[in-house]
Amino acid sequence: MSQETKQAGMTRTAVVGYLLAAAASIAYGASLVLAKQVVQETPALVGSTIGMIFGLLVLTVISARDIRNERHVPARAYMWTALGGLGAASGISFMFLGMANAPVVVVAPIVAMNPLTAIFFAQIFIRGLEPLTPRVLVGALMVVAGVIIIGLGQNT
Amino acid sequence: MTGMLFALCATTAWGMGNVWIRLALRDMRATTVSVYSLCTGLLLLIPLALLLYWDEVVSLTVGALTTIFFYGMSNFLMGRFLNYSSISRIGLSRSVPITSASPVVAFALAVVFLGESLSLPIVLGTATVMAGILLIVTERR
Repeated sequence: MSQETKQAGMTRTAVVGYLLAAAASIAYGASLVLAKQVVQETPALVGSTIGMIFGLLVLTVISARDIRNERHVPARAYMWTALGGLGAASGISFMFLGMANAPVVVVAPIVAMNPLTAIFFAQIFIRGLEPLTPRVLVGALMVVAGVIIIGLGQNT
Repeated sequence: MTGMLFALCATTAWGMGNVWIRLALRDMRATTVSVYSLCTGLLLLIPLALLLYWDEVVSLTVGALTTIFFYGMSNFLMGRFLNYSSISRIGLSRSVPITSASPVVAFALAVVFLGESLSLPIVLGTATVMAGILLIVTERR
């Protein structure tokens, strides 16, 4: 494969990756609006748990073939996935506990630092997989700062 | 102080969770990782929800379940799958800051559909987020 073809492939992968991240952001943003409605009808933990069950059921149907084809992946992949799932779920539980014990203006900015903690741990544990440039770090800092400003603007 | 500690635990759990997911994505597709991560997450959340809110769970109305269904599709189906697909392509250092900009999207939707009003902090915060994302996306790799 020529250098140019390789570079074009890299660029295409990156563009698709950024578009997927933007789409995820839109999906999460829409879910935040729906979450406002959910917490008026039921406790947040109940809403999250049942929402997660609905998501799991539909996703299992959609990805049944992938699940069948990937039965022989290394055991470590299952371990990392299980830990990742537990990390995400315990994050949700801790956030609700935080909000039950402190005002949103205190909890929201700390929770918004999530990208920085992810980058921090990635640099400690998987630096080889996750090269970090000063530009990406500054970009992440600006995103976190902006989200904190928005959170404080909404809650004051 | 307790609330702050819980919030710190939340951000730590999500940070480490993303690192583990990044490791899993070396060997598995984003779809499979999403399914298994939801399964293990539910192992923690279902007992908690039943233990703390049994009465609320058994008295859920069809209307509430419908709202929760759309919330689940948006967050745990679309959001999680797209997020993991993105991490597998560009890495978590680039993907996570972009997906974390969701409050900007939420506010834009609230302005358009719920008639919420704009304020200076919102405009300033949105501009800062967009500038940060632009900085990440325009980096030459």
